[in-house]
Amino acid sequence: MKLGKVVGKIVSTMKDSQLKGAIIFIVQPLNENLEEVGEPIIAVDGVESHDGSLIFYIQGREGTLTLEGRTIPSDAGIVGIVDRIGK
Amino acid sequence: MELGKIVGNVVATRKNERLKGYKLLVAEYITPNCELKGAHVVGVDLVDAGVGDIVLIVRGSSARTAEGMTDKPVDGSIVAVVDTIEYKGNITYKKRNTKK
Repeated sequence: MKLGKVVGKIVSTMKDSQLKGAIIFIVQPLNENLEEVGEPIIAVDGVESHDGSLIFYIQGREGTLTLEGRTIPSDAGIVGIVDRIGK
Repeated sequence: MELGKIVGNVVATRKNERLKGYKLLVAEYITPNCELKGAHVVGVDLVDAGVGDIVLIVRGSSARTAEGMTDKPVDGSIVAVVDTIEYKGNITYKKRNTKK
């Protein structure tokens, strides 16, 4: 998984039926010092995060497992909201 | 997923049997600000996208999770036509409702 911040949202009505009801966010990847690094990615929200949330996300095949109880056509998913990072 | 802009379609009479019957579209990857990223993908269109549409493309083996793609030789599935992109507080894209 990697750290990221929710910085935007994609709205689509015409989509694969398995994505019905799925919230699709734009995530800015962060490094361990929470600095912005690299290009934004598009990920399905699996934990009711919102704009500005500090999160962590998965990529690749596991993206299909982002939502509870059903497989979805996704290669990236938000799987956790960070409360804090203890040093 | 990747954001992409549909720039054309691919017609291929000789192709893998299991691709028969599917529309293949060429999408150029774009940033959330709609700038071209300089790379493309040929994706199977599952949402009746058209040239000029902004779409979402699932890449890699997840692409085979898209409807009907389980046993297909596909690593890029077009799974959504984008209506709106909201990025860092701005609407950077809004689909014009052109009647088909």
